[in-house]
Amino acid sequence: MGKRFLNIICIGCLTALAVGCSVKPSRVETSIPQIFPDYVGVTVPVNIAPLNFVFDGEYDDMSVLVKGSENGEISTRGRICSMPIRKWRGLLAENTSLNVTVIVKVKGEWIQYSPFEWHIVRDSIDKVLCYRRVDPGYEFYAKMGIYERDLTSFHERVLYENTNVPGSCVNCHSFPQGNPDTMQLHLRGNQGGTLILTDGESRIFNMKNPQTLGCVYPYWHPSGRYIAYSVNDIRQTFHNTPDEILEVYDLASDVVVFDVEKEELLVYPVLKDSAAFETFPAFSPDGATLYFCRALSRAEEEYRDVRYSLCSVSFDSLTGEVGDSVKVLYSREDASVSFPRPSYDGRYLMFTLSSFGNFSIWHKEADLYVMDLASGEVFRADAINSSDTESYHSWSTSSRWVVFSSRRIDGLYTRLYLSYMNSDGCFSKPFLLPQRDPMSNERLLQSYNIPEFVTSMTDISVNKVTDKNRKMIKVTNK
Amino acid sequence: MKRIRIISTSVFALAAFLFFALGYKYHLLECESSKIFLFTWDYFRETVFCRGGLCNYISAFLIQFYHIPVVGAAIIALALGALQWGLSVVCRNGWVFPFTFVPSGIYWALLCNNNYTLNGLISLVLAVYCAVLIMKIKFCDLRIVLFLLVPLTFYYIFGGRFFMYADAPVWVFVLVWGVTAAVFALGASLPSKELKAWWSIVLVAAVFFAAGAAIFKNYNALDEEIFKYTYLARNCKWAEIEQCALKKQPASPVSTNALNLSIARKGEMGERLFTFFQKGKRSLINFEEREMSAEILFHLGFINEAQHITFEAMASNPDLQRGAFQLLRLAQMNMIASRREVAHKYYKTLSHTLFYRSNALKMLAMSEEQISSHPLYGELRRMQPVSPFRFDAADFEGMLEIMVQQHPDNRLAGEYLNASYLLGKDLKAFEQRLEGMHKPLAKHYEEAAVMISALKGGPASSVGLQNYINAYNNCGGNPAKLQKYSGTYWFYYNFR
Repeated sequence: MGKRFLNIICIGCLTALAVGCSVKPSRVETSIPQIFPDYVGVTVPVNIAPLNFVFDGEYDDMSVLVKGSENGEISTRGRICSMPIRKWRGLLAENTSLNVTVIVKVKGEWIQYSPFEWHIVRDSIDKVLCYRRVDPGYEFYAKMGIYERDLTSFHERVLYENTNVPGSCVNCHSFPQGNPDTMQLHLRGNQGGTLILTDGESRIFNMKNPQTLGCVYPYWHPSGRYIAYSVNDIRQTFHNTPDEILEVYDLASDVVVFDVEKEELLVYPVLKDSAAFETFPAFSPDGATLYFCRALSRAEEEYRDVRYSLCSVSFDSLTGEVGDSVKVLYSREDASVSFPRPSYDGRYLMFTLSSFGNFSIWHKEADLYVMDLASGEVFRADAINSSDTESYHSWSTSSRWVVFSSRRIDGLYTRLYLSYMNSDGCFSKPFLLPQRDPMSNERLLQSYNIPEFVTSMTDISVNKVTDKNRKMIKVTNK
Repeated sequence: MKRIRIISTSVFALAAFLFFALGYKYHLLECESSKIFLFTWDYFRETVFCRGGLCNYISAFLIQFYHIPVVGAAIIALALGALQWGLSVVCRNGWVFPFTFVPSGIYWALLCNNNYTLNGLISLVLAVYCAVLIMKIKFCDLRIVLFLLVPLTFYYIFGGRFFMYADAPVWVFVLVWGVTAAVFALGASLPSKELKAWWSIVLVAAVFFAAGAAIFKNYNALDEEIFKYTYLARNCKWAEIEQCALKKQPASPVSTNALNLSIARKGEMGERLFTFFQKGKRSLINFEEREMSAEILFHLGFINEAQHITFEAMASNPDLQRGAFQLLRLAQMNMIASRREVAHKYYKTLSHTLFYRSNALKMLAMSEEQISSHPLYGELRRMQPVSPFRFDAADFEGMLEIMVQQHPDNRLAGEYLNASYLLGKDLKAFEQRLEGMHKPLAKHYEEAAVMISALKGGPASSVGLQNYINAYNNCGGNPAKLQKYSGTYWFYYNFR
């Protein structure tokens, strides 16, 4: 009886809502609508761009009513729910949640679905996301580039594109704690080098030297004085079963630190163990600890047996020295750690766990895990993982938001997802990076990778500074 | 005079049409397959809103019609003719008129190289007609204003990427635009002067001759052959490949690769391999030639590696565009490998094209069962490797061995493995393959079998081999004297 009463109330509410919408439904479904991207029940920051979406199915027309919990509403009509940005911002600013009612026209019949909520949190997200877009290719590169996306709108700016120098490649853009005035990135190809920008000054270094391998994965020290790099001898190989396509692995790797002020590469015996692969360095937010991944080195044909542990070593930012002892923080015999990323409040450390190796983007089983740095406890971030690959990730400067790459849509083309972590360390349902036209996600034949939060747009054009002379670096064995 | 102008322009355009329709057909098909034009707002926005964007958009729109080479040839002929006609419109001097053919002639010669596409030509044509329009304006002030404004606007809309080949040397740009500007300026500024008809004919003929020489110099018959074999292999036209080879021995390794693929697909590797000229294992596959390698690997069932190479080939397209055919193959590969979502992504893209739309829509509607029962896709799906292994292009024979081990019923891989042993003259390995072969053996396998037996010291059990041995002993090392045996494995073993 009670259930029946509840159904009547629900249908009554839906009908009342429908009256408010611009079209009158001829049928009411009690189910939640299937929409793309799946924004049902997501939590969004107060400053995010509109969550435009489409109905995931055959339909002719759609009417959407987005109603604020306190005040205001937006109604749209058309195949895409495309919300005006100014009205959207007003809704986010004045409400704690939004109620979304979707009515779709299928074969001449308007069908209303059960409404769903968007939860708004006051913890705003960093204004800019910097990422690379590239074909999910292998050795050569078609059109690719590094872009900055304003998360509060749909504006995207080119930081570097290789269309002027075909075959060239740019990667590993990195900012110290989201600071747009300081960054580094590697330029590959004939005009290669490592570009370092510090407070308006740009320098390009030739990091190749006989003492170490080439610098690859970077991480800035919070002071902006040092950049930790892994130096890797990288190989890739191609599988031939439908489920496995590509594997990237190291034949050797170490961790080094570059002193940006002295233009000096610091090499440490403890991070240059010939019996181990060290990679993916990351400084703690106080700069006193250097996290990295380490595995026992193995012969090339044993690449499936290489499993990395999460390790740390102390770091003295005054002298550039590291401690003598390496602490193993997390290690598993059946899984391998990659991309350790501490939150900027120092509470958590997120990493990717896959069955072996370190190039998790080609591992379908790769998932995101979080370590509570106070207790050392590690948990799988179930709320944000999927049955497909989750890999590279970054924290927002507030440490409340994470962005991560996932192949959950089609298994090949990496897309970016955002999720909120509350004060209890629980993640909200992730949502796909909003686009003006949500179907552009499907049309785009490129992958997003290395998403990094930045507090504002950078004030540089990489294309203009690449002609500078390459500086040689000094290598110092500590 | 007017009649001479019309006739000479028509003859020029007709010659261009015939050249591209008959002599460069496969260049056009290759060019079309490595480009794409989408009827979407996204594509329009991405293409048009950059320097030279509108020109790129128009060119891409026109290049899609190369899919039907006759139409493609007509488009090129019209564009070349339009360029010449535009220059001749302002030319009143009979001495200059023959030189109005020079820019078109240069561009024709450039188009013999597939790295140069319609973009630059369209840009030139539009520039010339824009200049003609300005010349026609009678108000002097307006002409001056337009003269100042048009170049900038024109540069943004049509310029910027005059040539799609990034490494195009600057002198080519200077030559084409410099000559065009010079002819235009001369034609527009020199006073009107009529020439006697025979003088005009002689001068036009001389320019035609010079243009013909430049085109002849740039004509690339080898590339045309490669593109022909590539096109035929992509479209599984095995009988036509063989007909081509019978008419003329393939001149390039790519053509030989395509020929051997066609022989293998027809199940005639053992019967016909050595009927054609072969030179080592590279006759089977040449990894430096990405497009053909991808085709061969696709048919052999190495789907991931074929996808890898197709991606690489796509990244090597001169203008960094994705090719329509390359996308189609990627879609098929992912469909075969049961990566349905990715395949659908490609098919949805192709559904916005003119010539790949129907195929894409048909494939999008196919169920998993229909794919599994498809004569090609179903077969290749069944042949997918089951245990992981790393693909090593340097050890193609080893890869074939793994494939045959995992799928003994992969007939094509088996044929390739046999051929690889024979071409590599590895009779020991081939002997092991002989054990599993059905009798009677195919011609070349039989030849190898009796040869193995003879090399082991046994009697030459075949009359043919005995005759060959006798002839070999008497030929004094001169293969020309053994032409009768040139289609045998014995001959290959001794002389290739």
